[in-house]
Amino acid sequence: MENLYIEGSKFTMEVNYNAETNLCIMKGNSYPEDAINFFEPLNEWLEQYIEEINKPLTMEIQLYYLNSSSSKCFMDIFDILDEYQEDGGSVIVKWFYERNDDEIREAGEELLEDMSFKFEYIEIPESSLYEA
Amino acid sequence: MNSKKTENQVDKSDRDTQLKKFYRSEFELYEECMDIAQEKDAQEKVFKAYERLLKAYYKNLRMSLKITNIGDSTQNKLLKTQEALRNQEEKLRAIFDNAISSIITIDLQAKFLSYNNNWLQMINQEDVPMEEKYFHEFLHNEDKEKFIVEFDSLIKKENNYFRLLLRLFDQEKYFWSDCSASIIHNKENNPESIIIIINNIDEQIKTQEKLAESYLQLKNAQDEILKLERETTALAMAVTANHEINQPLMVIKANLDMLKLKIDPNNVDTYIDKYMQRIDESVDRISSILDKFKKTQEVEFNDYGGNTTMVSFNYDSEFDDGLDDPFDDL
Repeated sequence: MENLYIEGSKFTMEVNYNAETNLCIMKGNSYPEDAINFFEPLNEWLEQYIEEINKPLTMEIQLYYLNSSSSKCFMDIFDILDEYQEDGGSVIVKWFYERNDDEIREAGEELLEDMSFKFEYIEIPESSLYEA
Repeated sequence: MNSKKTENQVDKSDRDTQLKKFYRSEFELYEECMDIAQEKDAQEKVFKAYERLLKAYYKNLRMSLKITNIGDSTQNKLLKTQEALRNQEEKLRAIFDNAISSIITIDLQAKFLSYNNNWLQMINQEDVPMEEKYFHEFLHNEDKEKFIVEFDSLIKKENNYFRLLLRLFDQEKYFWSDCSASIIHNKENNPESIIIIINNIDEQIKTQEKLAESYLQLKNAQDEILKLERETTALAMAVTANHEINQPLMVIKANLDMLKLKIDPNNVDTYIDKYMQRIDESVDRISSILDKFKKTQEVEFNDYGGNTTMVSFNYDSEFDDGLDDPFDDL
């Protein structure tokens, strides 16, 4: 299975999904012009990973801004992971947020509150996230 | 009316497609229900489907609420960022207006975009708007070329910064200025404008020039003093040598003459005669050198290779100090 890498921009996150390390990283801003098209390959990759690899998966998310469309798309991703967890898979989601960035932490809480998989909120120093 | 859609806007004509993609499972359920409703005795099936639809509806309500909350949260964050930017802008404006330096921004044709009061004072044009003027209009002709070269390198992204000493015109005269320029990029990371911070360093340059001139004069004076000191020392040595050597030389000369008188010229040993002749010649040579010392007016130092220096005593052959020749009495 091939890894998925999408370079980040001012409006879109850097995506690094690695089937060998079982680690999926998303970081940066998420307000793409067309969120559905942007997230489509991410969902497809996850579905293929569950189908073919089926190993414990870690997802790390470091966001600074996200728009409403991206929120919906993140819910879709978490639905896929939730289903994987309920079907016997193992998932952990690490939600990174900058110190004092209550908005992003709250967004994480909104998105992850109903999920059956394990998740944790990790505070990181201010600004380092945006520069990343 | 501007019909161009913004970056984050989705074309309204795609709304149905977007809805079907966004709520795919709900839409499939909707279509399934519509099909069932067309069937005979479909009541039970419709109720079951309706139950599923209600669950999906509830899920979507929760989802909508979450998205609304996240949207509000993001909006709040944007407002806070906007406020922080506004504060920063105010601080920058205060720095811009009250800076000791002149600060200007120019576009990619070097046309003025903004400038602070200090710039207007610097060029003595306090009531003249700059908007239609170009920065290079104020440059000395000899400095325009080097400015254009550096300016182009900024626009071509070869450099992000340059610093030049340029002569600017203040409506009366040219003055030296220290100009530091940095490129400002737009959100696509392309050059958009250039900010230049300018300091009048005319006094500094003139002081430096005067300092360099004074240093040169001082160095020349030092060299002259050193030369005079060496000459004085050499001349004093010459006079001393003349006085010190003169007396014993007279004794040698007198004794040689006495010796010649004691020897029979018809029966003199050839070698003794030759030795006496050599002594006589050497005494004459020394006498001649001492005479030269006595008449010396200036000395000259010549390198003789390595660390050795030779002294040349230059004298006027016509010069006569009135003193008698020390050997004239002999």
